[in-house]
Amino acid sequence: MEQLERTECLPVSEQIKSVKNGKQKNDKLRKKLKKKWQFYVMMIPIIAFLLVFSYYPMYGIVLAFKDYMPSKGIWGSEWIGFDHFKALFALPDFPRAFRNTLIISFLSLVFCFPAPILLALLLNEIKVKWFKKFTQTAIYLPNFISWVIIAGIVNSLLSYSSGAVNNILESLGLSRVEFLTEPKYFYPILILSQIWRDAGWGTIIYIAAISSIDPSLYEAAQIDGCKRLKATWYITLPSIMPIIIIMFVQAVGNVLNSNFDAIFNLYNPTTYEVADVIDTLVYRTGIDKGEFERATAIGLFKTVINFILLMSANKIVKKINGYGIYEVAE
Amino acid sequence: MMENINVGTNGTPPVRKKKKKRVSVWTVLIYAFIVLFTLACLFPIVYEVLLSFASKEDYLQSDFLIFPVHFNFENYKIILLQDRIPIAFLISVFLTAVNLVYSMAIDILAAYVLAQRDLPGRKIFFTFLLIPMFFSGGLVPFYLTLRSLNFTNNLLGLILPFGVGGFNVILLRNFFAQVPNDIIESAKLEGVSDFRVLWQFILPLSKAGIATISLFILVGKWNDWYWPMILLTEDSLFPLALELRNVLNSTRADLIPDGSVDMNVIFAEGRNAAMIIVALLPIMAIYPFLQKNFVKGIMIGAIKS
Repeated sequence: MEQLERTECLPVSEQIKSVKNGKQKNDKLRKKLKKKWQFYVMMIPIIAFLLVFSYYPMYGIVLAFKDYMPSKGIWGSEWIGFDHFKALFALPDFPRAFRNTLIISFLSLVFCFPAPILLALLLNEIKVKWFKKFTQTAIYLPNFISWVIIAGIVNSLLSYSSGAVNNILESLGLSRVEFLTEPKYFYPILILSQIWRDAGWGTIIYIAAISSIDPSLYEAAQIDGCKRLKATWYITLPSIMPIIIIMFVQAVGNVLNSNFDAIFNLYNPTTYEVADVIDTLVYRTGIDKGEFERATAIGLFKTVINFILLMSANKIVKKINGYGIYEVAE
Repeated sequence: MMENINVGTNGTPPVRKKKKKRVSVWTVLIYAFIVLFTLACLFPIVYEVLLSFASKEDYLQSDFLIFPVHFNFENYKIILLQDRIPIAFLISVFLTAVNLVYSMAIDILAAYVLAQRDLPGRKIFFTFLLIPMFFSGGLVPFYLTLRSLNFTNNLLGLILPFGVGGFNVILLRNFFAQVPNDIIESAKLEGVSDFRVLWQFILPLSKAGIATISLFILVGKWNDWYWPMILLTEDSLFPLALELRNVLNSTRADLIPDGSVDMNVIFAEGRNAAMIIVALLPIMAIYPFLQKNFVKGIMIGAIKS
């Protein structure tokens, strides 16, 4: 056992040595490491996982700058510089996907983002316990339903020839509408299904924030004759504002990560014009058509912008919070 | 009853009475809205359930909600008698179960390490976890990596690369950090090893967190059609989610609206609904058991982070 301890610890202690200096410190450190060798063993699985499935694929990014020949491998293929990127902007598909990504993200920020906040504030007014419980159980449920199923339900409700919505329109004397193939209906369908799926689930974090508000604030307001609506406006909302801001900044940081699952299952060639986003374009280019280099280039373009956005978002959150999203609070 | 109380408390009754009346309009509106939203959440599911039990005739005669007057299991029979579906179901169960154990084991160990505040090298480890959350090779390099590992047409290839990640680890760490320190300290004084501390004390005390993350992994894996679609070309390996997608998409004929009512499409609607219910059932079955835990779990995780 003693032997094992030493061999496990040595490489790590060697590493740490360069970080901290001072010989006495080193001795102490060595003792500590010896005591804690088990933790370093526990790190091994995730380190191996990330090396193989996260870090190694990063090297594949060089594909974006190469003329890929499967026979020569990624490294052996010829460098061609920024040709793939230049070609991207010349194609109509890419600017269109970029535009659609921004539009859909913007619509999501405007409509999907406030929905759970509103819902949480309303739920907070519900005082009948069993009713509240039932409601929460029901509104969290859609979050667990896959987009394949949601798209299936949307198709069966909105289908032109036999969908329930069109049946109603017809019975009201209106004409049937081609909801699924007309581009102008795509955004409303997407946004509504996103709200349906995620708004209820999204309330959890706000309800948690609301429940941690000091109840004496409300009592004081009540004594001052403050109405419930006013109390919501002047006490609840300001109290959960920090969380709202953090969630908002995070959402803005993810502007280029459109909801691939939703869009991929809801769109079809007739709606590509408004529905094709960067992620779906990467999929079709890379996996469907097998144009690996171009798809990698599109992906890299997105990753870089995303990285900058996320870092900025994290900085802003850090300013509000004292620590960033991706930081362990002590 | 109410009056009795009002009389009993001095000074407040008139105010309280007044408030009750004013609030009620709002309360009614709020309740109405919440009821509507709840119904909207449940409606599509109820709609599909009714549809799945309906007959072609019921479907043709109804406009909005389908009432299965001719209640039958024919739609389910069509789904379940297809030789692929039961096998696909089993493959999905296998993938979900094995992936859950695999990724939870890795995530838990990593989270436990991260929860050690004074472990030398912890910062480096954390950064190592964090970088993939910000930066990735993207779809194609990842796919090429999996292909070079022979992970195509291989159920192992649908398990090993998935379900492990910084987000889960950080969330779990927040739960582990909640375990009172004196419990751990006293265990260590008695000479319990670090690994046993995790197994005997921290895991049992972090049940809500474990349940929450498990649920994420479980549902994510059960619903995953994307990676099976990319990595599998042999239909004999398709899991249920992909089979579901194929069934649903094969009937998208009505996307090209020619106005004529196709008898096959009508028939397919009920079959699709049955397929949806079959895929949904396992999630619905575990949902009530885990719901209590995940609400608690997310709340702790959210407040902490």
